[in-house]
Amino acid sequence: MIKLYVFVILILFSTTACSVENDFDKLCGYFKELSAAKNKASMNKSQKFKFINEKVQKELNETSSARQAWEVVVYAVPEERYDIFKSTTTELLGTQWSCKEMQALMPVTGE
Amino acid sequence: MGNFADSVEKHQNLVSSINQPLAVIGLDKIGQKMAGKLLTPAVWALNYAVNDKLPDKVDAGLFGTGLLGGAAGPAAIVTGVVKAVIDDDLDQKLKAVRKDEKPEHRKSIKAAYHFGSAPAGINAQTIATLGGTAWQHPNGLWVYITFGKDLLVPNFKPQRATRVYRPVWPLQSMGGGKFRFTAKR
Repeated sequence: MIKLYVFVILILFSTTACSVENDFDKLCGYFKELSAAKNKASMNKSQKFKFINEKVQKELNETSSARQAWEVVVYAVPEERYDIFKSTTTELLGTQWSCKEMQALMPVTGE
Repeated sequence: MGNFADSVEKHQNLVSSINQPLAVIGLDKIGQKMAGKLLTPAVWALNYAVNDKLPDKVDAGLFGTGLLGGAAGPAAIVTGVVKAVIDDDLDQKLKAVRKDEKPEHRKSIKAAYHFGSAPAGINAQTIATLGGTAWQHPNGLWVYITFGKDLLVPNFKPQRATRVYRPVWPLQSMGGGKFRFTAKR
């Protein structure tokens, strides 16, 4: 009986898990959007930060570790931000993670 | 470790954001007796709390349903056991960290896990933005040091660390009581 009970719970949860996208990948997606933005060249650091941060605030839950990591890494030395974020993400997910758009834009996003 | 269940719940988004189906559940996962069900979530939670390491993809569902207040009875009742196991493991690792530092500093070193509701590695960065030094010991534990009860120390140099976060010196105010921080030693 317990086996059946656990199995049903797992099936139910697996359906939920499949429908939820990884928040770290979502954040990477925001940087992809920024990278593709036509007015990117004319945006300064603050405007780029605002572009990303508005999406984070709107779409990621306050308890999301991706959001928490973003909100603190913006205080890092600009050139170190991506490495710090990547390291945090890799540690949290337990697997290698990378985002080339974030790598390119993070140093020039935010003051 | 005041409220472990609450802390885990706050990380629900991360746990549930593993975008992988739980298509295959090994017999060892389903067929265990109660003791096994008690032990396994404890190990996952332990890895998560201490090393910020999530359970593997297959285990993620069990971890989530069991520890986030779901209906998985055997796992749900394990919270007390998990708390005890984690408390003990944190204590053991903290002792190891302290042992590697100078005697006069040992009592002032604390686990970053307790600093906030975020995972310890993120708490460590927050500590650095507030003017403190935080570091990860080779045993995986994120820690920080205070002067007195809770004054953060910006320029502490740990004896053994795989990663260190500290404010840039001289301090660079970023507003809101936060400082620019670096991962450079």
